[in-house]
Amino acid sequence: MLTYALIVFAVAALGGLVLASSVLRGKLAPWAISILHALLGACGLVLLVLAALQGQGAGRATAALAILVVAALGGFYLASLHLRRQVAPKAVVFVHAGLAVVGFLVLLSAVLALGA
Amino acid sequence: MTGTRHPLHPAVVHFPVACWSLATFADLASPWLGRPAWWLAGVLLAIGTLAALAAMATGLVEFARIEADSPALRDAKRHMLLVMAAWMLYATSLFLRVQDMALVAPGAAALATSVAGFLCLGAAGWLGGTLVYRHHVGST
Repeated sequence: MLTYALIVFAVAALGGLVLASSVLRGKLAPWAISILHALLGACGLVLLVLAALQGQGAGRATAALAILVVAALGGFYLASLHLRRQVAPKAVVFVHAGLAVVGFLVLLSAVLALGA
Repeated sequence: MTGTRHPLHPAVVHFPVACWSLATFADLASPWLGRPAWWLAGVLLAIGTLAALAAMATGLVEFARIEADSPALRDAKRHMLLVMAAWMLYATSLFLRVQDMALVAPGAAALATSVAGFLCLGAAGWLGGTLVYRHHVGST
């Protein structure tokens, strides 16, 4: 299940790149990609919660979950700005993306450790 | 998210507020009441954490309706950030008391995050009241 979560987060990250490129150019991101990004992120989190509850990946999966939950809350704040048709502050985008990347890498290390 | 007469957020928000508050009270009572109290707290935390997602989604829609130059916007942002903090604390508290898909007695960290979540929830609730009764968000 950890592997599935990793794949879902990887696809979500692709959407995040498109969103970030829009925001960094001072434009509002496309709604469809924003919603898809949020849904994939939520789906990945559910998979990760289930995997962590089943004890997969031990501490690393839990650490990845904690980091990605904080990233998701940042995403929630970004979504609130998007709903108001405001371009998000770049700092918030960088923090959100940075946390997501760190969480993804921690999750990747958990998956690789399982396979080793 | 509004129906024909009033926003949905005030109706939905009661469920996480009630579940989370009772969960913290049950946690605080658990040293005396034992398993029934901490088991109830765990179940309420799970329900509250899921119900909060619906409340946050409806709140997001209400947030989008606030005018850009409204003084309510600052309180609305604080309300949202405090609710997000409460969600994270309660979700952490829940996670800390689950092992192998079963609830276990909460440790000090789970109890501390439950109480901290309650404090954030109380502050968020106060600001929610400010938004409705002072700024009349959702009522005009």
